[in-house]
Amino acid sequence: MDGNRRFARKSNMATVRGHVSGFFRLASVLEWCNDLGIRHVSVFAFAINNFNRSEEEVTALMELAKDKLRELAEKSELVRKHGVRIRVIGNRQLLAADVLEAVDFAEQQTRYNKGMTLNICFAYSATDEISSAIRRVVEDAENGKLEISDIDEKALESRLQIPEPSLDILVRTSGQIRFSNYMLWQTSKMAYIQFVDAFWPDFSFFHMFRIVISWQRAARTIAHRKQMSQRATTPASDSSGRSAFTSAAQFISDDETCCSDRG
Amino acid sequence: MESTLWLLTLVPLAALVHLGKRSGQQSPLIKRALGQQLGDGLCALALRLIHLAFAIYWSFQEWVQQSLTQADLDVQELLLGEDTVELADKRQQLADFLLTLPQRPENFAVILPETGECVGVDRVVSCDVASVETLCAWGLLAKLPRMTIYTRDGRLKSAVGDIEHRLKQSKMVQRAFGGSMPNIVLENGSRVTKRERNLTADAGISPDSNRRDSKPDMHVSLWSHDDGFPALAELSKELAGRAKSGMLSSRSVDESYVATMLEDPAGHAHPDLMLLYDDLVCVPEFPPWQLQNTEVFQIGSAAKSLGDAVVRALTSYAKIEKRWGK
Repeated sequence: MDGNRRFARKSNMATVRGHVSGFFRLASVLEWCNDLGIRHVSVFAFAINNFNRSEEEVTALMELAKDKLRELAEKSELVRKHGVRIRVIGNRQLLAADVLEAVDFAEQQTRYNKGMTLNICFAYSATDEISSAIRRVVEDAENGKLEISDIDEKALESRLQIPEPSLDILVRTSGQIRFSNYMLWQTSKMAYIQFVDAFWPDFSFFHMFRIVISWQRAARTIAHRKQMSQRATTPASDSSGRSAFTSAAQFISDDETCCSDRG
Repeated sequence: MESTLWLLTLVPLAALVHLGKRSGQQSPLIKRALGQQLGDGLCALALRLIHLAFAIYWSFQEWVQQSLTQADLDVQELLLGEDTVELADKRQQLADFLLTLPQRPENFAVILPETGECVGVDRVVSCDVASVETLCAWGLLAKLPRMTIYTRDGRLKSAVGDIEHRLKQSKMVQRAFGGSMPNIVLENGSRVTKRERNLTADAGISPDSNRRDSKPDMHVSLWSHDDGFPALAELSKELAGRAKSGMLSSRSVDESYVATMLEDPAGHAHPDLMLLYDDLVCVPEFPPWQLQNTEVFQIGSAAKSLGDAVVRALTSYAKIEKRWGK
């Protein structure tokens, strides 16, 4: 969801209005994803290094997050009608108590929903996620819950904040062509990446349509590569071919983030 | 010819009539199923047509892009052509231009394609060896401190001997370095995988043994899938072992601790710029931790000229704005 502030500047709005426009765009995109049968969507709402912004902007973003989390969880049609489940991913130790309260509220309110899963990455960075997973592995080994010989890539992956399912499509808006420390583990597992030259509030259904069609064209090649990779690393593993389009998109947000997540 | 045309017209018509008769005789349930099948078939056909339209549109876009950029840049001859005074001057001009770019990467990574243009194992290896030679030459011309060359399957690592030999003999590399042989340190793997394999010494490529002890002109790392996810798993294992033996507390394992364990021993940053030599924008299991601040520049695998791609990547990197979250 990158480009809210630049959209605001382009439209002669206050920065916070740009973020509000970004939220409305998110709501539309979630509906499209739901209609397309995408089961998991992750959005990058706030990066850990976004705390480096001005206090005024950070405060405004936190207030917006609090309001919109409650609004999503209580009133949105996606949650009420389509049973979207909200998860907030990130380093909660960095969040103030009132924001945490809103986060807990949104998660609790939707925890039994069986529809699409929406991962909102807030106070998140991929390196924080990976190092947390490593710490959890070390903790579990320290406590005897995990044997050293059982520590492998899967053990690490299962302790990530977004472990499953594997990422199909990563979308970053605003024309920036970098990863910005977002879902690096998941992206590196051969996710299909699309950099879109449009600010997040300008992201349209046509952009979405293009991404989906181009992913469909590339899906077979990517599946083949994943199979080759699995054969190279675990010759005896079973690689069940997943058919068609079941993936979810991730959207990188806020001037240095992206994400897409598939279900 | 006429009889063929009649056949082509009559056979489908007969099939449709036959289907129509059958559907008239069948129960409503089967009619509905047939209707649904017809609907599904039409949707599949529509989707295929959309794919075709998209493929045509995309090919046209690529053709336009290639036509526009073809005339702009043809730097490959600067290192490959017969060495003349004029060529040497042009080369120096390009080198000076690249040195004055406002923003230059410290660590330039290249992901080579899954399958080379060559067929057969030996030819793939020598194709990749040639690619490494070309990339090293351009990296030296641009005075990049470090290059990281990645192949998912690690085929370059098994060709280290060939690469060393090729670089030592390479006229292209010498031309890029002003006529003399540079001191290139060739690293086989990342810090973690080397520690795991108890490798301490890297290959230093310079005919002058005195130069090998001085600061290298360029570091070249050969990475593979093993330097990514398996390396992180090995690191976790190592830290877990230390924690179990009481040498480390799990509470100390935070982001900065892990970053220290994964930092480059020569002090270089993680890749700032990546040249993705592939038709798909898809990172084939490149070490994830090292991707955190990487800009991506993609070229199709059909592109013949790595030199052009390197120069374009460097010039586009010069224009980007890094905000670091602000």
